[in-house]
Amino acid sequence: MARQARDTCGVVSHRRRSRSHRLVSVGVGVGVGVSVPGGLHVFPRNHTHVCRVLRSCGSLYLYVLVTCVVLLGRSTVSGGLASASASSASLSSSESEPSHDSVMASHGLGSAGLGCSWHEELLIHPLVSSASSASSSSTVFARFHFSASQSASSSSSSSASSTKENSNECMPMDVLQILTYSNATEFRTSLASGRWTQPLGDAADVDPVANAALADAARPRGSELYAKFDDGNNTYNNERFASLAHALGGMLSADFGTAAATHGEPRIMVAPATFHIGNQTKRNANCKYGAVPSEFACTENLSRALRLLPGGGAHVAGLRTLLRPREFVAADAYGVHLAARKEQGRIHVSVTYDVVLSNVKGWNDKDDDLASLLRAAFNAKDLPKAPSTAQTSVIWMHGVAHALNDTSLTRNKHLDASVHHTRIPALRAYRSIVPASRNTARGWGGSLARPFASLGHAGVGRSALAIDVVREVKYTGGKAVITCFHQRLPSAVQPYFHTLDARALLKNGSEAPADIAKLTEISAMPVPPARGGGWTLEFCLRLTSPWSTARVTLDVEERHLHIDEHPPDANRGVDLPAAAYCSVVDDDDATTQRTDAPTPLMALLQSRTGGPLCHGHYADNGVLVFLPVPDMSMPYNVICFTSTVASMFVTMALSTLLKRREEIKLAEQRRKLGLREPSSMTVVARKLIRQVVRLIRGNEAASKLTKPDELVKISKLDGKLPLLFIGLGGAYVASVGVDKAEGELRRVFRKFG
Amino acid sequence: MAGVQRHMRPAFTTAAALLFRAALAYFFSDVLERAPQISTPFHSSAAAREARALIKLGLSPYAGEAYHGGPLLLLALPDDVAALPFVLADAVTIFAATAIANAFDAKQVHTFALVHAWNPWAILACAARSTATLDTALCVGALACAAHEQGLLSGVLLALCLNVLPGSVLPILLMLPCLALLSQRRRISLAVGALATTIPVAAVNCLLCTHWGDTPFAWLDETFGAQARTESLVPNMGLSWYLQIQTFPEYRRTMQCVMYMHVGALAVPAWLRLRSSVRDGDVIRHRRVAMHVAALVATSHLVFRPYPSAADVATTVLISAVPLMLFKDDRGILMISYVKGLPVVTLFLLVFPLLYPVLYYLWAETDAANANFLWWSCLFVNGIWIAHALAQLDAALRFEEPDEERKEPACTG
Repeated sequence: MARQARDTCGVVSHRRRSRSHRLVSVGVGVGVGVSVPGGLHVFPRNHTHVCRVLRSCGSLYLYVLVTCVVLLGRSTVSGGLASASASSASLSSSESEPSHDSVMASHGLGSAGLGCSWHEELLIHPLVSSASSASSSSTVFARFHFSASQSASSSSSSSASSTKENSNECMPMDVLQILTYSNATEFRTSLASGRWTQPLGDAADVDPVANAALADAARPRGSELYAKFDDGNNTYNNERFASLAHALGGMLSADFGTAAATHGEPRIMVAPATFHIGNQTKRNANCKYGAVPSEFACTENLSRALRLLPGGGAHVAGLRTLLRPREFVAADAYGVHLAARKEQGRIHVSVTYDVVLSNVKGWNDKDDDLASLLRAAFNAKDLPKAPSTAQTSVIWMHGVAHALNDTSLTRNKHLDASVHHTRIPALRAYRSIVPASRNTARGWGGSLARPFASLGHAGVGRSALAIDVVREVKYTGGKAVITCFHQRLPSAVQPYFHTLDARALLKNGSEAPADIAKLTEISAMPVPPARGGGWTLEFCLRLTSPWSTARVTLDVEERHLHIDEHPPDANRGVDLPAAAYCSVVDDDDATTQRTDAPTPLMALLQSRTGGPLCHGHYADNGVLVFLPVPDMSMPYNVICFTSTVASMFVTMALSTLLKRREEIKLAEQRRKLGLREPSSMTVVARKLIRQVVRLIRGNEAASKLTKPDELVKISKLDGKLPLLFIGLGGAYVASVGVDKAEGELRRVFRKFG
Repeated sequence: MAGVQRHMRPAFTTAAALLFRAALAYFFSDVLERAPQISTPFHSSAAAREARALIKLGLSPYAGEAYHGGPLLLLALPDDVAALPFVLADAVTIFAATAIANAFDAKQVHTFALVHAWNPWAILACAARSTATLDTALCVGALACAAHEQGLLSGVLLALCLNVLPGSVLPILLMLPCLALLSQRRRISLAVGALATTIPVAAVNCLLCTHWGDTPFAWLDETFGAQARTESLVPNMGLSWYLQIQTFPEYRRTMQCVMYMHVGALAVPAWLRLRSSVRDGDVIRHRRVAMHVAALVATSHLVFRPYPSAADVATTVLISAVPLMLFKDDRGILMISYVKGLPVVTLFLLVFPLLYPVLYYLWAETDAANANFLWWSCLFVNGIWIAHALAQLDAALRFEEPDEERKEPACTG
């Protein structure tokens, strides 16, 4: 121990001699071993004196000191790794994420190295085709994927400088600055609009790459924002998330602020890179996820995202020439996704456009002519030319890559082989677990907010949300499939978590044993009222049986809101945000990701489907919940009528209680004689008569009218006196005129005070 | 043998009513417990199940705004709530009704017991597993104990109703007639029983709330406070839900206060007025006046309660039937106009509530009808209940003795 202490002291003295004013040494390599933190500078300069003191303090002090040194040294080493990973080939090869540049270099398409690399790809996949004798029309799914990658060191220097000379030409500087200053290690955002139906035909006939892209394109309608931060301070992360949302909203002209204001805090699945199946779930407190179902994508969002791409202006080239936002907004469905992440010392940014074009005439899905398809779908007169700045410019169709730098657009043999290589079962695994909601209009994404079919089960006033998960064994090799869900439930619905249940059905429709479909990792977290209230629900469904369909149901109750709590378009309903989910195969053997993707788009699709870790997340369509709306046109009527009934009760009860016993007896006698109770009009008429008699004949005569027998006589006129008064009054008014009658009435009132 | 059979007939009828409840609960409890008019969100056993699910998830049972019952009730009811506790509660209510009839030496004891046994509202509430059924059992049981001079037990039952099944102010309101039913020296025992029960039960409630990560007195706010604030606007058979929906926020609290003042504004003056008409030493009359006040309080509580349910109707019908059926010799009380219109009133009270689920379904589920239809039917039925309360008050006042007849005879001793 004494030798170790001396060694430590020796390092201290050396560093103190060389850099006397530097406190913390960042970026010390691994070879240094246990590096020395700058915290030791508090010791006096005379290191021999320090060693003497240490020896005299005994082993306990030494133990504490060494522990501190080791702990601080670890943090220094990790910080050093972050900066040095770009030059450390051995470290990058051990990570799971594929290195695109190395793959690209192996394929001869250029290597980015420490600089910026730019790739653009277009994937086209026909969804539905209807051919007739006269003409043929198709529905085409197209995905434009633009990605840039750059080392973090060069990007930090370029982001710090705002001059264009220092900025990199391919990396969107706006995104880079937002990523840097928000302290986020990753963010993903999407804006989508419209719906489309994905055919679920036999998987043997469907291109798996296109299927993976279709699954990846399953974004919620509206906007969503996911971010991951590098430290766990929740308060700071909330502020950072809000700042990030506002910055991205300003950049894309979209409302991400609402998503940040009402976000949920995922613990399990939305950042499933840290979710290890078979091990303990690592809670993910650094992630934030929010969605705004009502914030649809529009032309402005698409145009703003287009400005992030390099090569604009008069020299526009490549796949960007096919992007026409004004035409896309007329499509069945369209969306733009922006993602950025720091990983392995590099920064990756991608901009993706998804569009589903219907009624594409002049082309059918049997046709392999790419030029005719581009002409029909995008009105492209000429084939786009590959831009000079892009390392990759490829169009994918029917699982075949066509490089744009090849003027004939012939099949690229080199890439083609890699495409076939990506047809692994794990890639298809996700496609086989596509929730049936997108195909059968049931589930979270279907119109299940108030289905009649489930009312019998849920009862009047409640609805059952359900999600169907279909699994086919032939793509997963018989291993269990785990699908984790993250659902934000707004305060407009009241969930009943004790009804959260999963039931499995076998292929023949019979009910499977209960252990086939199991719900695990159920987590319900109330969202504070300041963030809109409601709940964040997360759970994982583990399906173990082949060819099984599982249905997860949850009863929710639609709340009745106050009249001032309804939105302005109350009859439209309230949006239930889409459920974000991710499916993985429970395969303990497959511990690493595939690293042989030929292009960034293929790497993206592969990383999200192939292996035990699920990178990214998917989301189905949201649900519109129709709340019971009161009659907004008559609040005053309701207040008046209800208050009248209540006041009637109190006044009548109190007047009954305050009656004298003699009055009660008199009323009893009247009832026995068959005489009616005097009406209020009669009482008023009596008072008037009494006043008239008093004026004419004096008080004595008027007092006689109050005797009981006189009252009985008068009461025989019940019902006639008011009519008589009304008739006389009407005749008087008709004879003298309204003005004169009013004047007389005023005079009488003045006389009686 | 024939005599034995006639003697056993009420027991058989009661047993059949309880079996009918159990069968109805077995087949239709899932449907009935979702009907807010039968089992409101504050009395639904589904809310108790939800609270237990939240506890299993590591949350407070009050986190989801679904449960508004007492903490102790979660421990008292089994995890899978069956109908047995509720059927037993109704059996206790029927037994208590029999005891009340016996306490007033009535001849129609068994007929009176059957009022609750075959009351459709009581049957529906029991089959829906509404916790308000337990309220009814405790309140009627407390009245029966008070009628039999069991002040301690009466206080215990009222305190249990107040703390184990919190949310209802009926136990507090019924303390007045219970005290009136007891003799002078027994009244202190009611207070002792209530306090001796309230303190430990409230302490256990506070401990449970603390154990679940809530504040100690969270149960008070989530039960009484949530009811007073009318937090859930689910349609029920009361006046408040639609009024609170339509009232603007600046006026909402005022309306709630005004509505709740009505019950207190009636109970105390009625008690003072009726008590003033009773001669000192006339114990029988004094006890009958107490039951009149109990009926008035139950009816007004039904009208102005934020969340009245079918069990509250059953409670009101049972307590209102006490002066109606057991005090026949009170100068022809049965001849009052209310009783003459009783068949019509009963018909309305049975027919209009049948429209509740229909109108609610047409409004909330299919958007085929306006909410005003449901509100008008509620308003009409509550108007009938108000007329019922006023007729009760009128009937109670009508057989008052005049002041000159109440003059005390000169002391001859």
